Amino acid sequence: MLHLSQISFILPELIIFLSGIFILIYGAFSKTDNFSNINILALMAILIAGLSVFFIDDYKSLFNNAFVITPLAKYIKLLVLIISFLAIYISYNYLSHNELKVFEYPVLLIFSVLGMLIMISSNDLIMLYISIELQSLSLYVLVALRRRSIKASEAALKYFILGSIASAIILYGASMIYSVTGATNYNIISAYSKISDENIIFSFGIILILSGIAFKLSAAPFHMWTPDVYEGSPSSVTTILVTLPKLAALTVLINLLFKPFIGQVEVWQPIIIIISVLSMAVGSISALKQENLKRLFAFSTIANIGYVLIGLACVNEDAVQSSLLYIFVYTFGVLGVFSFIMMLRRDDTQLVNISDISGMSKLNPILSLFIAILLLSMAGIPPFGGFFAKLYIFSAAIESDLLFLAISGVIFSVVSAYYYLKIIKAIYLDEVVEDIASNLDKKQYLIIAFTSLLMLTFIFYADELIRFINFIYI
Amino acid sequence: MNVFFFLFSSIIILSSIAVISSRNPVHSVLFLILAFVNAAGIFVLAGAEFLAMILLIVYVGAVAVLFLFVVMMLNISLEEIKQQVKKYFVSGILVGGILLAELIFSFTNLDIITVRSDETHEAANKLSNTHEIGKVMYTDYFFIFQISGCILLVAMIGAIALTLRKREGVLRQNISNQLDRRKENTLEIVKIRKN
Repeated sequence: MLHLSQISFILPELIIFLSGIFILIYGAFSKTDNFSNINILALMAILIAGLSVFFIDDYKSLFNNAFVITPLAKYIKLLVLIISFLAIYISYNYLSHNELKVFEYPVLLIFSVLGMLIMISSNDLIMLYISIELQSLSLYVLVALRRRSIKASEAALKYFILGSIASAIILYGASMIYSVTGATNYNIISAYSKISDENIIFSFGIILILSGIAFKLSAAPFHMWTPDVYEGSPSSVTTILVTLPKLAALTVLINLLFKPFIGQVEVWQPIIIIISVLSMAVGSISALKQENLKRLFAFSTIANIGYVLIGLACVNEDAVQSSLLYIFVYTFGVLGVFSFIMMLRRDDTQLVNISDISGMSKLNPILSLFIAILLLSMAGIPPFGGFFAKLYIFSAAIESDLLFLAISGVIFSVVSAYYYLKIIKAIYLDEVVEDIASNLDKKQYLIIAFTSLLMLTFIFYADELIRFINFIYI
Repeated sequence: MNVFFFLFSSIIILSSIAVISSRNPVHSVLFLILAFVNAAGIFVLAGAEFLAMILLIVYVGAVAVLFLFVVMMLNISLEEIKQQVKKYFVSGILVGGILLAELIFSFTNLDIITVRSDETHEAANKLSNTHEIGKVMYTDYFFIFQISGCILLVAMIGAIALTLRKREGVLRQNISNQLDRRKENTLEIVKIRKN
């Protein structure tokens, strides 16, 4: 049962939930068009929830150990709230340009964030499944929200059907683990997995759950939906799709692998290694021929998830810390890139192709510089953040005697440098086609500047960040 | 009990065959409902009365009726579907064969598949299943129960957001306007000139 004293431990979730209900009622009953008020309300709610994270105690478990608060969970929650704040902040003008100014948009986003927050803290297979469902169901509707667009409807249908299959696979795996251990709680499952020998049904359950979560992470070979869904959904929703669910799913994966499944490393380590190499290969090679920026960054996401998984495949704490560092750098980098994609407009249409931004440096030199920094960082060129993130991942792999993972990582990051540099070439060397945007969105510009400065100055705060990650994940 | 088990299961098998072989799609759905009801009967025999009732309410009450609506609203021609049977014949036999082999394997090697029996079940046997589920649902699984409610809310918001259209020029009844109407506002007496 929930006692009154326990409410303070689920404070962010409670605030997010209540504000979602409040915004829903406010939006449904106010007759005038007041999307800007609703937007501000949503931003305030997320801001307050983010501040409330600092008031939670660590190492608490609630609801019969189904919900735990570790330092990792706490700060990933904070990161999710920060990213969702920025994602709502930059998408206001995009939403008004693209017929998406409906009050359901922030409400669904808030419920999706609620699902992610619970996912991050879940310590029980039922809790995990329910929160994943809440998170993805809201996202399916968000993708479909632009009803007039055929592409968005197609993307939503694909996302919905494949996502439901992934959820069903997770549920199937959970039922197998329950049949062997008689429990859904991670603590009991981890006690079982440490003492038991190899059990075929338990291993099967682990494999099924990992496949389902790899789908949510869009790691190859479960990546098929990614390019179509990212291309078809509105860019503001794509910004959310490439950042938030990845953070939540990665935390879930870390919690699962290093707690209930830790006794069965020999079962899941090869799977993570294979998924990681495949994701890097598919992501880097398929992106080479893409002309559409959203599709290109969909493949880039797949490749980046591959790098993140290297850290998990090493099965030691330092490597997981480097994964967390990588996902931090990736999230902010991709946030900057997608606010740039949202910004690209000519007349009344959104631009999505590389050819549309050719010669941009002559007209917008400062913006082009910021974008170049972001892209160079993602490609892993030395002074920027992405380089150090990759460096830590590869050195962790070498220390754990997984030399071939590090080598394939380096090879594929060289391959992927090609398409990042292709965009930079289009911006700096190609002829001017037409001015992209005479009135650039201030908010999006601010986020692009912020993220690119974050990548540029990474070297100055890297030590503090690594020490902090050391502190949150021991 | 054995007699009822064989009765229910044979009706399930027969009606499942009827589902895929009957010519009229409405009949198929009705046979599907028959199969669901008999499956509920088997659950009752196994002592899972809560599951039986849920099966009746959810599958018969909601899902099958939804199927019936879809079948009646969309004009599905069965001939087209029947023509595709040949296309999927080989793969269907293959999948069916694999499932059969798995069943045979698991029944001949019951010792490999160790399913943990629930020790606590005997002690708590005094209460009915429904009581038991209710007790944990509102205590141990309170939080999960609330989040399930959230999921239903999101489903509702989504369904409304995706289908509700705010069209211009839709005629709606406005009761207060109707009641406010007076004879003077609307009636005009015109004198017709005699010709």
